[in-house]
Amino acid sequence: MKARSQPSAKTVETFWKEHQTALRQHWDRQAQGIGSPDLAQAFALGSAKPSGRHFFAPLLLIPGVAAALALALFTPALLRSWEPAVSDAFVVDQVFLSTSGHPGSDSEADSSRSAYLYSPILRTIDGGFSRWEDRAHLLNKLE
Amino acid sequence: MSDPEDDLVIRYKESGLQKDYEALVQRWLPSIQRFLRLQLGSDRDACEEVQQEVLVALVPNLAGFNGRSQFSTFLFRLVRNKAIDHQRRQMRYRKVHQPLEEEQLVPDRSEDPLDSLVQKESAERLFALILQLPLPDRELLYFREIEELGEKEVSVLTGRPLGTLKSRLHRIKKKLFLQMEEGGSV
Repeated sequence: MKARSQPSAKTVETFWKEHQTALRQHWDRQAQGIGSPDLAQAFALGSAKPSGRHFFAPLLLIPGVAAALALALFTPALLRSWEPAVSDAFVVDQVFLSTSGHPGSDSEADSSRSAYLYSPILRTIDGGFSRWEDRAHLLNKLE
Repeated sequence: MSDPEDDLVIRYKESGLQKDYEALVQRWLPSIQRFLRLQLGSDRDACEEVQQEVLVALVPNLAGFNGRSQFSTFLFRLVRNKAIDHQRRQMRYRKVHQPLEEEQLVPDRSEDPLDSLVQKESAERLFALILQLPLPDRELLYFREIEELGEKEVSVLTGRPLGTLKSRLHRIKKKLFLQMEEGGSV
């Protein structure tokens, strides 16, 4: 099958120039089929809207900054309030480690002890202070 | 904002008055409507709905326009985004696109005696063929040949590298030429 001859760039451009004006006019007529907008309503509705990101972007920063400040201010206080429990837990943990195999040692408790004892939050959630008291009692007996 | 046409933008941004907004919109309305026709085809209701959405969104969006790009770039992006939003909404409801073959052209009521019948028919065929092009090609042709935007701006708007614009545009024109020579498979 014979391949179709390709037009030169000049031929294509000439064709386009011949049709460009008529095409533009036709395109305009097609576009004019779209009805006129209600500019007063558009302006009123648009003015009622906040100006997008430029208005809200600084506001979005506020919760982030507040959270960071709260963290910076309250974390040391929270840590201080938990400090005795954490340090006591550490002592108990050391005793458990040194008395491993001692009658009364609990291998299951041993395995989860570190995560449990060093986490005041876990202890609180778990209601684990009873376990903590049991161990403190055991510690007293060992001493 | 070195373009004298951007004076309208500056004037509105300085005053914020409705009359300046209306003057700015009136200047760009034909471009908005031509571009909507390109994006949404013959669905006149859709074109009018999106046109109003664009003009509403223009007010708050103009507050963020800082003149780092051409106003036309900013405006065509806004129109395109609103048209895409509309098409997505339509897709959710209809799940199908209206085929371009069903394109209903607005009857040509031009009274200009200089327009020959042949020219009109050719323009109608050419326009229908353009609407069958893939959207990125349609946009490229529209921005360069109808709106006559600069290459750099068209490159930004279409996302095509500057170096490939000319060759791509030539290929599109050649394709249309060949289709017209064949009798235009509209």
